Amino acid sequence: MIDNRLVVCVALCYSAICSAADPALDAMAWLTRMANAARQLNYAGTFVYRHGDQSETSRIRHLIDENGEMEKIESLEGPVREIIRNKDEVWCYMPELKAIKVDRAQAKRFFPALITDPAQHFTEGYLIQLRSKDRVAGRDCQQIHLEPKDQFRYGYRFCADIESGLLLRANTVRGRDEVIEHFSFSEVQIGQMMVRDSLKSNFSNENWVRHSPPVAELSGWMVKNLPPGFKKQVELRRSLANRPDPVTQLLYSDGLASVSVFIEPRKGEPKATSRPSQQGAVSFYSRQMAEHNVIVVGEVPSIAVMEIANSVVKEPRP
Amino acid sequence: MTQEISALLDGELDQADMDRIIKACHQNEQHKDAWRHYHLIGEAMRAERGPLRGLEQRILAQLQNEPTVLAPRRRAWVPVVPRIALAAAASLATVTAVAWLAFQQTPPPQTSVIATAPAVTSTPPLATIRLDDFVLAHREFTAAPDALIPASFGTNGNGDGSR
Repeated sequence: MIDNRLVVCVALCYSAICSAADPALDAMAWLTRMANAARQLNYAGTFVYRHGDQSETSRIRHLIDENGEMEKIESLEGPVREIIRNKDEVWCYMPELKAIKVDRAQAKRFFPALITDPAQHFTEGYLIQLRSKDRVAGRDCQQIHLEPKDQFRYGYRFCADIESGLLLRANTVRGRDEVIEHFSFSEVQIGQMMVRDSLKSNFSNENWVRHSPPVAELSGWMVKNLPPGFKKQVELRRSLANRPDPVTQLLYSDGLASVSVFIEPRKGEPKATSRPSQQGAVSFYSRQMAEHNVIVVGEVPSIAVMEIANSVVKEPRP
Repeated sequence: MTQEISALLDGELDQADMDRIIKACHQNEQHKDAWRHYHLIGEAMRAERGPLRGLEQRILAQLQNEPTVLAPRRRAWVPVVPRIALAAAASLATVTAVAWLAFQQTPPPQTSVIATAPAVTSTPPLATIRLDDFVLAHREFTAAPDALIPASFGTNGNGDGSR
């Protein structure tokens, strides 16, 4: 009996020590740890988002309690914006416009919760590797690289807090080392006490214009040849500000990169086929079908938006 | 020509093309105007603070008058997208304003909004494809903090204005 207890104790202590300090925790385990930390920890900090030559600074507070997850993101530059996420519901406050947008978080990810899929899912499109340690926001972090296995996606480089597993920095990388998108905490506190009330909006939204999310609707459109690992996240029918007719939006993601396929009725004469274009991390391609325009937009290389656009078909309804 | 001026400002042209465009801008009043206009848009997009009302109106006018047309270009890998498309996607401030103003083309849900919104009359030609709207609608689903903007403000019950 004593022997058994001793064995269990030794085994437990050993595994606890190993998981706390073992640099050999493999890359997959780090991805899982990263995903869990972003959801299951309290944290508050300031992060910078850079995209092309634009940059924005935001403050985030995230808490988890018996009522679930709650999060508040505030813009620190430009017009005041507040995003409050309460479990799956997202409220975006735009005070100077006296407008509020309510949406579901189903397909939306926020930094530092960039990874939500199981780690195994990423092996289809990426080679996952642990790299050297680094430091971000004054904290030691472990670098995890996801190198694309094909030409249909970019690479991702993460640095996750050694102590807690929280993602501290995320870069989207084109080619060997061209950073085209960047998230990074400039300061962050992890694991402190927080009260739910402190995450409530600073604004009463009385008499504000409220905009609801677009409706989910199956259109019968589909992409025949998706790059490996991409899956459909949502399918919507929505009106865009400057489009004459409602459009269908199909959103696909491999867990990191996402691509939207828009389909709208075509009016007017067909034009010459376009070439793909891109700026920053976003690529575009449009193609004309007999009666429709297909527009593909995504944070993927040009070849991917082209391939996807060229394999859009309408499934005959059963 | 305006596309080439846009490409020049985006740093996408080689030296010979740059010289040619700059020369053209000096010699032709219309091109000079386009040059100023693009600079104005660039500045407006970068101006994150301060009152932008007047500029918003001009940006919107520019968006209306110069829809992004995806057409073949002389150089295969030079994007046709004017800087406004992505600069817009990347800037929460201006995009929201532009999307909001664009929304005002349709009957707004509340009269309090009409009072502050400039009237917009022109609509883009139907045969052209304007990427900025699609970029915004896509980026609502990305992790970019600027991306939760009202790209779907429109008719047909999406921007329903209900409370």
